Formats: sequence, structure tokens, C-alpha cells
Amino acid sequence: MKNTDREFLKTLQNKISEEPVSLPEKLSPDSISELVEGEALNKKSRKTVKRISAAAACAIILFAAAAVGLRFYGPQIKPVSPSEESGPQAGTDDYAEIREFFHSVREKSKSNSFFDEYNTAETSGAADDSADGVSQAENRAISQTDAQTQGVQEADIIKNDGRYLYIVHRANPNKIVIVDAINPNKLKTAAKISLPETDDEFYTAREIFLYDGKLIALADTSPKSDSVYPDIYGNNGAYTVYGNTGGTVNRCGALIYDISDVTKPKKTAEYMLDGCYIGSRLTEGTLLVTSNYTVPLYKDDKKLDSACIPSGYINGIQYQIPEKQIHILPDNRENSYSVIMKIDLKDGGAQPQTCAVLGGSSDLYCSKTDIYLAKRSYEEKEGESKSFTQIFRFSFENGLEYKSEVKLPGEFLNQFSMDEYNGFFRIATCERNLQSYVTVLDKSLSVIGSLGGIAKGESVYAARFIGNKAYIVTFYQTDPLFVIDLSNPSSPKIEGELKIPGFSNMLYPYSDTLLIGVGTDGNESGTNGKLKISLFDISDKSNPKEISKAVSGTSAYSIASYEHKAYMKFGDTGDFAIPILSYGASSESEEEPFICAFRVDNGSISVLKKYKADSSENGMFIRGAYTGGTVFAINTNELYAFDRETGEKIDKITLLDSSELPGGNVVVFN
Amino acid sequence: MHNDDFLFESAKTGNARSFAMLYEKYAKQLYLYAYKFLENREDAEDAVSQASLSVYRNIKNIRNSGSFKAYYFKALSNCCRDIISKNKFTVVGPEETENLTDGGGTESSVIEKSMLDSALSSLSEGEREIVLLAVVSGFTSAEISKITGLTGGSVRSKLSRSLAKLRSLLEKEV
Repeated sequence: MKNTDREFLKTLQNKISEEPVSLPEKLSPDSISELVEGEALNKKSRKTVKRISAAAACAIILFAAAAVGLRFYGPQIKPVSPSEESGPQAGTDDYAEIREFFHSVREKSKSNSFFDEYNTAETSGAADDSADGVSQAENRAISQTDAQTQGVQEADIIKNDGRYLYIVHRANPNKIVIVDAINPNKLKTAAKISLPETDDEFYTAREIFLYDGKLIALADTSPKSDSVYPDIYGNNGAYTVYGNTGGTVNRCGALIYDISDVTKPKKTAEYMLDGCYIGSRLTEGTLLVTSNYTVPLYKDDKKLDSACIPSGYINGIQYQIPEKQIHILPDNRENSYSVIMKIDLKDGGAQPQTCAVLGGSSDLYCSKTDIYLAKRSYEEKEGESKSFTQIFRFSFENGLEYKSEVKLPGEFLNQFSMDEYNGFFRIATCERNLQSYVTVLDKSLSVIGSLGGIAKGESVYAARFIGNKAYIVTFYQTDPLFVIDLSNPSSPKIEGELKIPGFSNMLYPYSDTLLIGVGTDGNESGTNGKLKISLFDISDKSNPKEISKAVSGTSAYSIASYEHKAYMKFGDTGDFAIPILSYGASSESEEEPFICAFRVDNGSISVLKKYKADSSENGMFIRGAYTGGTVFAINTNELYAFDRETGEKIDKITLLDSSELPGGNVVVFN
Repeated sequence: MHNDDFLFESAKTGNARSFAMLYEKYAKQLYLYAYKFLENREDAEDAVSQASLSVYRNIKNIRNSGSFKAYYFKALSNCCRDIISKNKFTVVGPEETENLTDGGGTESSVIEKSMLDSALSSLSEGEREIVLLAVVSGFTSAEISKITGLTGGSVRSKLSRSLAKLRSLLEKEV
């Protein structure tokens, strides 16, 4: 910038900063708080709020369109058929219908009136590792990532094989650090994996799995320079991507590293997909990776024709997903796809399969045979903004097939809003501050039974399906925990209800008769910012009770209140632990990060041990892990080892040197 | 006081109060930006409200509190453009601009303001967006490039061109 420009800019900045600005009442923090809470839904303001949310929906369309991906207009497309699914050969135009569709989408987007719904490109991460094929050192109990469904592992930022800890670095996710913890008094870095970097792109690790001597890094790629802004319609030509990861995302997928010699990890394969990462699952050697791909609506026909067919990439070779594996639903008129890749790790991953359906998604639920991708959408109907959930079901039992789709009223909360049991799919949705629903569907996604009108005027804060019951936490002022009986799928009914102050964000099954709730404490008039760990007795389904609770002395926060992977269960004793950051124990500004272990005994919950960080310099602990008598904890740049019995710190290791970190003291949470 | 990271993580869990506390840090900048961009108080209020809902609903997509401000302005800039395209047929001139303060400023500040405002409104939408992001929000060219989707070079040249335009207009009037 020229000096004169700089000076003039400064003058303007001064001039504007001198202007007296008083924030209109409507934009006061209190009003905004009410607006987002949706509590302004009283009669007087109803109209305004509706109008706003409709317009907000429009705004989010642009956002969501932007959220996924500037697709790198990459190398010449070489259609290769990666597996027995025979892809169309170059030159044929089996894709004509799809192309025609996208040309019409582009036409309509020019007038900017096309999109009447949007999807958010959220990342619910995915993750877990049970010791599926991982060799465990000795015979000690070790931590495993919490997973929603038994037998279906979820990836995470830390994995433990009993000797080594594998950690995705949070401040520099280009690196995965492997720490040898065989001697917890002397933690030692065994290896650091740097994800690849090409001339144009860099890779960012999101989470990892361990499987059979391999480390699987789920990663996405972003362009290095922001100068690649193709000529695209939508968003007034300024089509940016500022979504999911706070940056542009091109592709995502799995990088496979051979760690048979842990000190020398070697990349053996790379499977990528267009779009940004939604999540992944690993079950019985089958790896599933899902992405949300927003097609950039290029002005240039050739570019559009190529971009509108989602691609996979095996070891850098691009192939277009075969036409018969791409599904365009008649009612979906958007330019995002949900894309799935299935990689059979048992046969070395030679024949990945891919499948796509038009309709973006943001969260996933996975059973051992089916994967369900879910999207939220908002529509204007008769002057009112209504929320919906659309579900796409894919079966991966034999091959990979798109099966069915359904659209239901209300929005889902997260992966725990969904579940499959005895051949039925169940889902909890809510129309914010109006009512909640629990719906039971069969595998073809036809509605078998549904229960609406749950908790009028409230919203769902937590959900969990266990066997033939659903446990739903809704919240307005107090915390009703509903037990919903699903034993007759065609007529779900409320079986029991409990009203207590505060609310739970996450429900963790503890035993057949006990549930743990992690959330916020409060009284009849609202919440107080204190962390509450509740113990619910659900042995009498018609009369659930909060039989015990632990409440933090000062304001405190736990990642486990929205990230289930931060909940660690000690498999050997039944105790559990979550990371906590507490505030202002001795002074306003003091932050105290620790891992807190709890014990449930005789119907009461108690703090068993605190594993404390030396300081809050590296942020809060984001995960815990344990191996036998040692508890581990990670923050942004450190791994701590504690004596599990005494709570004393045994050792601490810095994960990356300052030279390997991005500039500044960056603290990144999950 | 709670730090941004704490508020941000808490807002991610759906805590509206924490969200509002984060919002408060940028509230005036956001409003000023929308007001200068849309030249109309009611539209500015709508734009900030819409952007707030959008950010709140999508907060899980923001990786860390450091990206919060840029994400908010990105949302706001989209909302403003949305409102402009809806208003395309309504002519809104600088003469309709209302006083930004609730109680009204002094005579001279009103005149001073309208000079700058009318200079601003002589810029194209795209130019005005870049200038306001730089002047009101204090973003660097690199950050503006992320928000608008333009290349860094294009932001710099547009900014320089717009500043020159503004300078000549303001100097002429003085």
C-alpha cells in the first residue's frame, strides 16, 4: 500500500471512530441474546423474528454455498473406474442429465432467487477407536474413544494403543505427533508425521484412526494461495469459502500411514473426495469417509460440466464417480452433494467405492450396515420459517448403495439425535421453542410412528437412544428429562418426565439404570454458568430421578458438554473423567485446566481425582487418556502424564517446538 | 472477565448469553459497517440481526475464536448484499440517510458525516464493501480477501482506487 493511501486510510479511520455511534435498542447485546435464543417469540415480536429468520435463511444459503468448496480446477480428468463399478469412459456422456441439471441450477442462481433452502456444512467429527486390530502392549486397561454405537469406531484427535499416544496437533494440524509412553516418567517423542504439501495445497489432519499397524489420518486440503478464485455465479460473483474450517476446503479423505515401525511412519495410500469432511467411521475393517461437496457454479460451461460431477482421488489420480452411483432427487434443487467413500482396509483398500446424492449434509449416524447423513433445512411456508431434517440412507453391507431419503419436520441436534435399533431408524427433532418430535421409521425411511408436541415452547438440548427408549433433554427455564417409550414403534409415547433446574447438553449411558448428564447448573429462573454433572436414575422409566449431582464451585466449562469424545470411561473401574476449565477460583482472571475423574458409588457421584495442568498457558485440556495406572492429558501443545492414584504429575512433554508452530501463541480448541 | 475462548466455546454449546457477550465486542463496528453500507438505519438493524442469527446457527463451523470476527463480517457482508439486491428497485439516496445517533449529533458533525457518507455512496457496492472493511472493521487486505473472496492483489488495487476516489471527492468539497 502506498504511503499516501495508508495515511488517508488512517484519517478516515480516525474520522469514523470519532463519529458518535449509539447502538439501537434492537441491536443491544441483550436483544441479540434474546434473538438468538429465540425467546423473543412472544406475540409482539413474532412477526419481526419470523421475517428475520427467513432472511437469515437466505443469508445462510450464500454461506452454505460458500461453506464447502472452491474446487480446485485441477489436472485433466482421467476417468478411471476404481472398482468393479464400471465408470463411464471418456468421451461418452452418461452424465448428460446431471450436467443439464447443473446448467439449470446455474441459470436460476443468477437471479439469486433459486435457493429456498440451505444446508449447513457442520463438522460433527467422527470418531473412535476400539482396539480393532491394534496390538495392545501388555495386559493393561487402556482408554478408547467414546463411540455412539458399539462396534462402530469413531476417529479422534488422540488415539492410544497402550504404548504410544498418537496426537493430532491442535495448533498445527499439519502434524501428527507420536509419543512413546512406555515409561510415563520419561515421555519421548517417537515420530512426527508431517502431512503432505503440494505446490498448490496443504493438508490438515482432522482426526485419526488406528487399524492393524496403520495410522489413518482423516484430512482435508486447502489451497495455499487465495488467488484461485474462479469465475463463479452466486454470491454476487464473490464466491468465497469461509466455512467449516475457517478457510477454503478443496478435498478431504484418508491418508494411510504404515506404522509397523512407529519411529518411521510411511505413507502408503491416499483416498480423497471432493468437498469438506463431515465425518468418518470404522467398522470391521471398513472405513467410511463422508464429505459435503458444493459445486462451484462456474460461468464457463466446460468447467461447470467437469465440476458438477463429484470426483474421488486415489493416490492423486482423479476419477469421476460413476453416473449410476450419483443420485439426483427430484425435489432437491441445490448445488451440494453428500459424498461417501467406502474403503475396505482388509484387502488393502485397493477397490474403494464411492456414492453421491444431491443434497448436502452436515452430520452422520452409522450402524454396522447403514450410514445415515442428515441435513437441516429451513423453508418459508405461509409466512413462517419452518425447520426440517432430511435424511439420506446408504447401505454398505454389500458394496455401497444409496437407498432412501426422507424429510421430517424440525431440526436434529447432533449425531445422538439419530439411532438404529432392531431394524428401525429413530430420530429426535425439534422446532426451536415450539415443540419436539421423536419419529420411528423403517429401513426404507417410511414413517412408522411419531410423537409430536413434546415439551411445548422448548428446544432439544440433548438426546440419547438406548434400546427401546429415547431420553430427551429439553430446556426453557428448567430441565425436563423425558423418557420416551419406543417399544411399540408405531406409537411412541412419553413414559416419564423429570423437571429439574439447569440443563444437560450431553447424556452418557453409565449403566442399564444410570445416565450421566453433563451440562449447566441453574435455578428456577435460569442458568448460572456452573458446570453440572448429573446422575440420573432411570430404573423406573416412568419416574426418572436426578439422584446425585456434582456442581463446580465457580463458573466452569467442559468440552464434554458438546463433544462426546472428550468423555473418557475407565474400563477397569467404571469411573469416568472429563476435561474441565474452571474460572476464577481465587481471582477473576484465573483459569484452571484439569481432567476431573468421577466415581459413581451407591447412587451418588463424587469427585475422585483432579489431574491439574501446571498453568493455563497452553489452554485447557481437550482430551484425556489412560493406560493402566497412568492418566494422560493433552492441551494445545503439551502431553501430561499423571499418576492415576495420587493425581500427581509424573512428566510433561512439549509436542512441537516453537519453530514448528504457526506464529503467535495460538490456542485452538476442538 | 471470561476470555474470548471461553465465551466462544460456551457459545458453541448454544449459550446465547455468551454469544451476546462475544457479539458485544464488535457490535458497534458491525452496526456502523451495515449502516454505512446500506445507508439506512432499519436495513442496518435487519442486516446485523440476520447476520447474528446466521453466525449463531453456524458457530460450530468456526474453528476458533480468532476467526469469529472475520466470520461475522463475512456473514454481515452477505446479509447486506442480500438486502441491497432485495431493495434494488427502491432508490435510497444519501438525502434519506438518517442520523446515526439516537439523540442526534451536533450540527457540524451531521454535515461532516454526510460529506463522508455521500462520498462513500458514490463508490460501487464492491468498492464500498472493501473500504468499509478496511476503515470500520480495521481488516488487512489479506483478511478482506478472505472475506470477499477477491484475490489479495485485487483487494489492494480496488482499495487504492477507492481511496483515491474518496480523497478527491472529499478534498473537492472542503
